[in-house]
Amino acid sequence: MADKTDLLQGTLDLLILKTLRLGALHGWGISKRVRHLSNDVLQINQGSLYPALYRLEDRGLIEAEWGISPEGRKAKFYQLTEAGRTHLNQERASWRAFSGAVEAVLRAT
Amino acid sequence: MPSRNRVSRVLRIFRRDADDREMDAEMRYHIEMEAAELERLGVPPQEARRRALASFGGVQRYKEEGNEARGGSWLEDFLRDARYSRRSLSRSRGYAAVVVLTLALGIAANASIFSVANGILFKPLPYREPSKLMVLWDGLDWIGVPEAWVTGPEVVRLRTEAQRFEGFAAIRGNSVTLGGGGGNEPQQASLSSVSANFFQLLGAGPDIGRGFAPGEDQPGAPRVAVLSRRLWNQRFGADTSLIGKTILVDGMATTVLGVLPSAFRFSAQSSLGSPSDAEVYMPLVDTLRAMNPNNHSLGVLARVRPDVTMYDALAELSALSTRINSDQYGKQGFKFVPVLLQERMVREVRPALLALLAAVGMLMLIMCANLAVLALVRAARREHEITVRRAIGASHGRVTRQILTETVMLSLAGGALGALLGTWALRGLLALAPAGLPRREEIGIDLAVLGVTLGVALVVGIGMGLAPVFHSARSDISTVLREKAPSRSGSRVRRALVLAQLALSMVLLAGTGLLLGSFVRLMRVDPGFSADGVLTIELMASRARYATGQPVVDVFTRYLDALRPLPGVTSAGATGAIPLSAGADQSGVFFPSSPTNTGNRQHDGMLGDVTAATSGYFAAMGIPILEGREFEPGDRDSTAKVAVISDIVAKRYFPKGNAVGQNVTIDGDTLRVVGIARQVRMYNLQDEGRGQLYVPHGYNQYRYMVVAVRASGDPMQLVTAARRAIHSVDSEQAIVSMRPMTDQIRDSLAERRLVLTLVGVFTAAALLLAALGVYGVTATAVTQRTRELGIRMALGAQRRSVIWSVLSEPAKLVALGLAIGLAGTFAAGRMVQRLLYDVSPTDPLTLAAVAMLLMIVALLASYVPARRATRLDPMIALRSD
Repeated sequence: MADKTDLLQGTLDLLILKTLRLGALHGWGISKRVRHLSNDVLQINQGSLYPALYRLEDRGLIEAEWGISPEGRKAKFYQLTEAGRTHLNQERASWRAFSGAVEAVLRAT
Repeated sequence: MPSRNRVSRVLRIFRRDADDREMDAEMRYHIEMEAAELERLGVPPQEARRRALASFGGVQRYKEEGNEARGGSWLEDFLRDARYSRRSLSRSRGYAAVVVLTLALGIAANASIFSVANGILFKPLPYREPSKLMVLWDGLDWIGVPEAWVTGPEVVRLRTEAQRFEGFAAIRGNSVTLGGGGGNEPQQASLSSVSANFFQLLGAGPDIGRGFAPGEDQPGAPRVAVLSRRLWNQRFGADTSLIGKTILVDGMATTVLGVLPSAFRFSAQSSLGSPSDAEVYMPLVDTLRAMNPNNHSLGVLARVRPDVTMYDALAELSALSTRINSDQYGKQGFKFVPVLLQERMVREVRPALLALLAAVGMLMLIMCANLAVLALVRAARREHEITVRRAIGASHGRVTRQILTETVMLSLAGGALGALLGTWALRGLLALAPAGLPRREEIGIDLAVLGVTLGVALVVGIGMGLAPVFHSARSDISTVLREKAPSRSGSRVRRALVLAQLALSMVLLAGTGLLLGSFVRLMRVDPGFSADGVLTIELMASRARYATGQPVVDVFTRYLDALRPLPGVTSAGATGAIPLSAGADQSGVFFPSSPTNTGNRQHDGMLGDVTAATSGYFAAMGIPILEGREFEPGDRDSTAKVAVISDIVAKRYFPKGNAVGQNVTIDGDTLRVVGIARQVRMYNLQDEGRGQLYVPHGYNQYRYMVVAVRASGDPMQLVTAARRAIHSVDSEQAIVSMRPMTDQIRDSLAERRLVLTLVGVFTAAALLLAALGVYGVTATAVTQRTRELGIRMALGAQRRSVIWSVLSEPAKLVALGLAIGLAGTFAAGRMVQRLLYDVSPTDPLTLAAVAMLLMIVALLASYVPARRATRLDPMIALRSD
């Protein structure tokens, strides 16, 4: 597991929102898609995904609905709300500003 | 950011179970999907499931975090914690009971004492803007009288020259006879004669009828009166039609203007002794300008104008003092002494109350230390449980909150019980309190007091809770799980707490010791008279029946003549002021032939306590005549210009001892000294008081006299016969009171006795708690060292050396506690200084004695567990742990 990068504090929310932008997903699906999209580098500590989901739901950034999974099982699907979409855009902008700044510093030396 | 509103957050609690089930389902789905995925990649089913679970982490932990993330959970957490606490406390009922009871007792003590202090010291007086009200005294420091009454002409100057004051009212205390004649039972009532602006200055007055109008205190104005509610209820049956009608006051028709509300209080007019409220208020006829400028006889109430600061008002007063000092007093150093009314009314009880507050506060601190020790012990026992909970995923915050909930629950229970006990304690306290306690009716457990009580309980609870929390935060999970030994830091904290208890107990003990010493010395004070066997009878010769002058003197002579032959009576006499009554008048006294005279009249004169006495009084009161003679039956009319002076007056003016036969001028009239009597305590047992002079009753012809009857047996046996004897002379004579003289002594010590009892109880409780603390520390040390002690005994160590090795630690603790406490005692000694009599706050004997007592108690407390150490069976000791 040493080659897997731990998530920066606060970035989990950003990743979840970004993942959901592509469409409604259940918890396991979100964790799988993050791994997949990051080429297996980013590994969400799977359990910690859920408190983050409930927090986002409580803040009204995502909403949940029980539905039927492709496997024919009952599962809870999360999707972005309008507020969530706005929030994602803001967060993405500030993340880019942040990572750009870090990159600039790293390049300077 | 849109957020769930508060209501739905709270409502959420009720569907928490549903939430829980949903989370379960969701997380189970996740783990199953992960396992299925792994199986697809070729992992065997069992292993796939194990790996899925491992990579997910603790389901319980994420559920709790999930709950927290949903918000609104604090209330739900609290309810859950409360349930958990109840379960865990019901498993250790003893602990819960001890904590709740300790807290309840501490809080009850605090709440009741604080209620008394709040009612007396801190609540504003029930007047308009009470902070602007003050009373004024004349400061005559050069004759040793820092607070004399004010003269009439001075009041006039105040009124005309002090512009920054709304006004000044003169007040004088007196006594009147109500009713009489026409089958109307005569009754004695206390009177305050006040300037017409008195009620208006106070901003409080009659609620039925009206107060005095301007001009009603001018000479020649019709006689009017305002009655107290109590008098109106008791004597006039609360008859509203009385307003505007006339009643007989001192035999003269007087119109009743109004009735004061029952809450009305004003009792600042007495200069010394216990203040009392007047039953009748009448205008003080304004002849102030014409009054003798040497006669200090008026109390003065002043109100500062609302737009003037206290500072400016006092500056003006001080400038006027300077002018009067040079006009009237030859620059001897006269000044007005202003005292805020509130301060004045509570001055006598203030030091005692502050000392009680300090004592009860210290007791509370000791109790808190005790509770913290209990909490530490409990935390040590629960360390294992807490650590296990943390290991299975409970967050530190949750554990903290849980422990806090438990202690807060306990302290709230203690606080509630304490408030209840406090209410009872307060009732008991007021029943025990001396009659003269000012503002008694304003004392009650009020919201402020309850608030403070609850606050104290909560602070204690949180403090108790935090100790073990810090403790568990520091402890390393794996260490604790492996070994059960209590950690070192816990016992260090605990020793510090016990040390604090010992030091505080030392301070309290020293305070009690000093107060007790003072009390014992006061009981042994020679008051200058002998109270045993003396019955005192207060009588007032009615103005309606006896004209001023000789008839008054004669009727008292007849009363005494009727009393003397009663069986059991050995002597009888009357006086204007019995000892400890503060009833004497103050007059300017001068000995023209004194060898100590310097020629400066202001220096040579003194303000003395002057009162009347009949023949037989000194014998009846047991006041020794040291030289010369007492008054004789012949000294019975206004030509009897003789005086008896007290020994301290004689010693001051005639140090060589030839006072008898010399002349003395009292208020300008010259009398001859015929005898020297022992100085009696006129105000209280601790103060010698002013020098005393007696004149024959025939000379000053007082209407109000106290008869002293000395009996060979119990004076109360005489009551019926004495009443009959008096009524055989005049069947309409009102008898104000009949009491044994020993009551006077008891009353004068009542406040001290109460303070001493309370402080004593607090101290005993403190001592007990400190002893428990020392016991606990030693007992724990013995338990921890069981193995070591077992080995030493197995190797043949003597019992004594084992005991010493165990005792050395508590001994060190006690020694250090005593040293710290001693330092505190020096600071606290100053606080109780005003309550002490004839004992220095650093009295080495008292301090040594209480230090010894504390040492013995502490060592006894640690000896019990130390002895247990020697009874250890080495085999069992070695196997233990």
